Amino acid sequence: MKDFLKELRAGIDLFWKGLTGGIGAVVKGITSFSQDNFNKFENTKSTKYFSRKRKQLVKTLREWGLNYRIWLVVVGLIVAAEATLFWASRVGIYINALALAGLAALAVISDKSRKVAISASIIPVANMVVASVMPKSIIGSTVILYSVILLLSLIYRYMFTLEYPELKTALKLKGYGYGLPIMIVTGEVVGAIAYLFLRHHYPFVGYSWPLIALAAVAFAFTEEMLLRGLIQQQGEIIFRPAMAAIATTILYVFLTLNHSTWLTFPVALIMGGVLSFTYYKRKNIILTFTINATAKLIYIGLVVSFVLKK
Amino acid sequence: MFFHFPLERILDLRQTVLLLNTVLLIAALIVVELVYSEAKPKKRKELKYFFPLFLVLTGLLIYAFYVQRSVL
Repeated sequence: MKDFLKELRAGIDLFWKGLTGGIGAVVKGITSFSQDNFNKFENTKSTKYFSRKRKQLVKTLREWGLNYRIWLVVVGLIVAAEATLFWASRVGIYINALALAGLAALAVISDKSRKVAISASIIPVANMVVASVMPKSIIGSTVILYSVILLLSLIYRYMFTLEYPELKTALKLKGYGYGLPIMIVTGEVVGAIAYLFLRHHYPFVGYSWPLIALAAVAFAFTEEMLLRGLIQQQGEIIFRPAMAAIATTILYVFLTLNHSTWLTFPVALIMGGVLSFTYYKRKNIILTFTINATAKLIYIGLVVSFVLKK
Repeated sequence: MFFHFPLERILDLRQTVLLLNTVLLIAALIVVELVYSEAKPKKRKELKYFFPLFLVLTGLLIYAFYVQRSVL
């Protein structure tokens, strides 16, 4: 019996030692494993890398939020001004003045959005000049509108680009050799589409067509200076480039709204989209100017040849 | 296809626009005075961006004087 009890006690001791030893070994093993594998990550390159990435992501999201707000304010003010001028003139002139005040305030408050806001404020200023002078004919209002836009666009483009390093967007001779013919063909296609939609809504009936054709080239240059040369270029610095392209397309659509027909809407959407996309891809105003001028000349040429001569 | 000025030719509106322009110009000058008068020289350099706009608005103010004189 005594032997049995002795054997039993020895067995329990052994079991206990084994159990405690096993548990201890497991705990020790887990601790040492965690120390070896987890704790050492706390200040290693990889944890710093992930921490930095997380901070960058948060910063980027905050910037996107701010940038989209700026984008919405700039585009929203211009669209509101143009739309209300179109639908209710008496209210529109107040909204136009409000848009100018809002954009100027944005330019004063925000360093980041100053250049975009000032570039966009050219549109309400030009509207105010035309509304003040109030010319009798459509060609008069169009010429004054374009003249003010061109003058201010050239001044601001000169001022904004003074501090910039020389951009490497100019094409070489070979690039122009391939690029310009493609742009001319694109412009011809856009002009033909415009003719299909707007052949019975030519706005300059009764005026000398060579003079209008000459003016159309200047109009195309003005549009490119303002929309691509200023707003899209400055917008690409703040917003994402695609958002800047969408903004200029929306502005182009609303700037060409016409009382006589709704068909200007699809034409402006196609033309604005093509021009903005070309600038988005190539960052070259000469190419977009070629498309714009060709499209206008083809439209005028087709209207004069097939509609006005009947 | 072309930029279009969507306002009908109403002469009453011309007076309103000229008045709005005057109000805007005065408000802008007050804001500029408040923001930039005691700002650092580096900040004051930003003022150059507003000069062309002020020039156009001042031109419209002069035009408003001209229109009023011709009305009287």
